[in-house]
Amino acid sequence: MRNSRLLFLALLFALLGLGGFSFAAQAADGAIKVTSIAEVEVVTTGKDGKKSVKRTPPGKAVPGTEVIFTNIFENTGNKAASNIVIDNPIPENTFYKADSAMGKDSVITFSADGGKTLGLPEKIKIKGADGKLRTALPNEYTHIRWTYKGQLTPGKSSEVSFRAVIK
Amino acid sequence: MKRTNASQHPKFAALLASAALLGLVSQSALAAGTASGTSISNTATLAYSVGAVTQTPITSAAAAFVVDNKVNLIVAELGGAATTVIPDPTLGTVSTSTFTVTNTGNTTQDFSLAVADLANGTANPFGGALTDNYNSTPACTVTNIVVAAGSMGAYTAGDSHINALTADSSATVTVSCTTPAAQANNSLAVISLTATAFADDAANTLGGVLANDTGVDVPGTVQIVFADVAGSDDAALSGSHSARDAFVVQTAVLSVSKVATVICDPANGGKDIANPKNIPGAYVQYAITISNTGTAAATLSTVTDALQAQLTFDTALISGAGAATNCAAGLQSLSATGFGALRGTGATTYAAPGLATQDVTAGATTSGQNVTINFATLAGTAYGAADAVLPANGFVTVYFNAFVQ
Repeated sequence: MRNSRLLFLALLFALLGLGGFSFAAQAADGAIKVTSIAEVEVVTTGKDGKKSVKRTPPGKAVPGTEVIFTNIFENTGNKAASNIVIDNPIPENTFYKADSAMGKDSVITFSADGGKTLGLPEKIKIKGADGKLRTALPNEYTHIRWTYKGQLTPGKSSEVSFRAVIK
Repeated sequence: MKRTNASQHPKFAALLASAALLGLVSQSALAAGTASGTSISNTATLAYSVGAVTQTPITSAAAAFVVDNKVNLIVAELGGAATTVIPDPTLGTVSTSTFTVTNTGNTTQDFSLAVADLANGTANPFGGALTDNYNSTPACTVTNIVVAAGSMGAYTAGDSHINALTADSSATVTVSCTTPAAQANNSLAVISLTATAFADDAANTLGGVLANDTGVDVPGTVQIVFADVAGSDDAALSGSHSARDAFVVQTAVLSVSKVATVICDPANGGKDIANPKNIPGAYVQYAITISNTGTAAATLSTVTDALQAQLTFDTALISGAGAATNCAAGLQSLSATGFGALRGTGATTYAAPGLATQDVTAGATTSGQNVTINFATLAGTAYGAADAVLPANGFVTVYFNAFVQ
């Protein structure tokens, strides 16, 4: 799908004779790389009896397990990137854990209507069973958006994360 | 250029559409949780600019893992009280106990069922001072399994396992136990039902053993994770759960007593005047008391009493009261039928020579030397309407006179 889209764009540019446009080439170079990982926290007790929390891939994940999803983005190009917006739908069969979204230098907004409208937690309204608008609960969120305020200079990486519980 | 409207991102819009569809699916997800084997996948889409030029949004590779098999179940006793058993004097009495087994995990499982007859001295799970003092003979068995909610596989008579109980479904299990003949009142038998999760095989047989996977985590493999709590007779994280029920023998314990009191004699006169003796011509009052010291009501049928040839039934139930110096004069009749009766709780309140209000109007008859009391029809002024039921801790006293020839 992505390839055909690029092909379509390339064809479009060829037709319009706008080969000088740079962004298609930059996208193809992978100026920014995004990696999404999923982890769970495992509490281990050391020989000294102290408990430590380790993050591991979610090997044993059953309903009720809390999973940490992290999106790492890195500027692999040679120019600074700005206006970075990361959109992440809450994975199917999980629900968002309240106050768990984190991201340095980011404004975090949420949506409870499939991404149509976004806002800060207390501003998100959804229609209740009685048809009246009410504030959405965190476990009703469908999407998270991180709006990165800074510039991501070449070679620099940052990450955003949230926690979701398996339904 | 600021992008505040999500619909301007074609890719994001597509994600939204799929998320909306998925949302419908997750709403119908079972309360037991996401089914094992379900892949949970996360992708993020990043939009950015370089300089003033907006770039094509990029999407991360999916971070995915599968949901493991959460093994969890609840066994619960139905009814919340010990099952009352009325024992048969000569045959064992079969009684049933019912439990529910609920699959609270996220995977269809088979469940083995084991009934244990617990040791003497085991406390009554429903409280009280009674403790286990007998066992079912023969041993208790599972005699029926029906689905209570959701869906389960076929049950064949004789099965002691539940087939293919889907996540969030529950089955009602009937256990039959036999109380030995003539088991004493207040005997108690405590049993437990332990259900253990097994793999669901395609057949109607019990599937393979499940082992709690304590090894390393494998994100792409469905692993078995025990999540059960401890039951009455099993440990937590054992893949099992259990509950107890009890059978308590509740029966009537009847005793019959008969006392004789001399009412008057021809030489000394009435009871309230002197001390009458058992001489020819004396009137003797016989009182028959039936007491129920058990814990269940009894339905009485009849009492028969054969008078000796030397005794003659006194049709007037004389009291012996009065100033007469012998029984031939000054007699007071207490009942037209010759019988008096009373009933109540605890010990009998009867006292010779009885009262006129205790007269019997029906249910007590004589035929020759035989006295018959029929409790189905016994009625009187103080006694009340006929009622053959003698409640626990109740008594009935019937009395009549005979005179010595």
